[in-house]
Amino acid sequence: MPATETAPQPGAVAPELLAEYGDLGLWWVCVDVARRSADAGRDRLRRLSDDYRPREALTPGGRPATHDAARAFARQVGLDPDATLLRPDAAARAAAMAGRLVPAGAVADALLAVAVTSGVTVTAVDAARVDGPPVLRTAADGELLGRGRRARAVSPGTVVVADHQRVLAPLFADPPRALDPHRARRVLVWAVEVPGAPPLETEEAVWHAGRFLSGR
Amino acid sequence: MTIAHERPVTSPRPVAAPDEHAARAQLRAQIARLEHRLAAAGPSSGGPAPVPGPRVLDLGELERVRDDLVERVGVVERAAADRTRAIAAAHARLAGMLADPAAHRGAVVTSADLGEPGCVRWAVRPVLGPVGRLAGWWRVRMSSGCP
Repeated sequence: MPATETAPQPGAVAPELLAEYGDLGLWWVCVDVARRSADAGRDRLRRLSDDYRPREALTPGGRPATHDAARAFARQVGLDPDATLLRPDAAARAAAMAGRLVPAGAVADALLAVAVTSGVTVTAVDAARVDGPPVLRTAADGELLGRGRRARAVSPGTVVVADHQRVLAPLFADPPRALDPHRARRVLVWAVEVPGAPPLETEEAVWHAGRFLSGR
Repeated sequence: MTIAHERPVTSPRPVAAPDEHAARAQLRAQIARLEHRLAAAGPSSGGPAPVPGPRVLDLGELERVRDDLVERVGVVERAAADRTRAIAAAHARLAGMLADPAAHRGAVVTSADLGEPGCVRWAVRPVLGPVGRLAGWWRVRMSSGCP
């Protein structure tokens, strides 16, 4: 998949999802990972760690409004955000345990920085394995998640982000074996804009992730 | 960008009647309000979700999610109310200890009991050890904090 500008692109959303949820959106960007983004990502997390308070990030008053909206939407689609943690909650718990935001490679660091600052769950996959722009839709009968022997069936009707060929990831979930953080040179980054989220927040989060990774 | 073999974005769901659509929207609004109440009441232990997701839930599934949340909100809010009462009782006990130590011999209140951070401990102890115990001289001693 070719790289795009760092300006996020609106992704297609299936009509039945739009009819059901109205303000549902998908923002994505495809960027080349800059070599210096790993060092910059570590520095960014070190700076963020100074001001980041995991306990506050786990309480409603301290959470970004976007994250509150995402938790509510997760409930509305049958997920339990207290059991299957969204990225900002998982980041806060990990930071509480470690005492800081722990770097884990350029891509993971960018997603973590965006998660703790915006409350948006941003997902990334290796763009080399993606065919066409992502789409938010429901899975059809017989679709698989992943490739090869590790592929597993996706229940029909599951809300997923997919390309033109296959399912990339279920809503809010990490893709299976998403990418090798040391090998991925170009990544597709996306986030789902949920109903009730403040306008522009999700788009801005994707823009930040793209900018962090591309080093622009 | 080349778009090849595009999978049609189709709906496996039948189109719902408008009143059912409105009912689902109403249930989703209730779920959002309950989620906010649950989050405001305090940490909730995540259990198995009442329905598999992420999917577009039908009316019955949304009701199950709503009912499950109502139950959880009840549990968490009751626990929060109990905690508030316990904190108020600890404050009252500490005030009583400070006002009349002799009437609260051996009583202990910690900062955790008061719902405060830190490791301070207030304890009613006899002045001069056994002498104070025999003479009925009691006072509140406050620990210096966390080790």
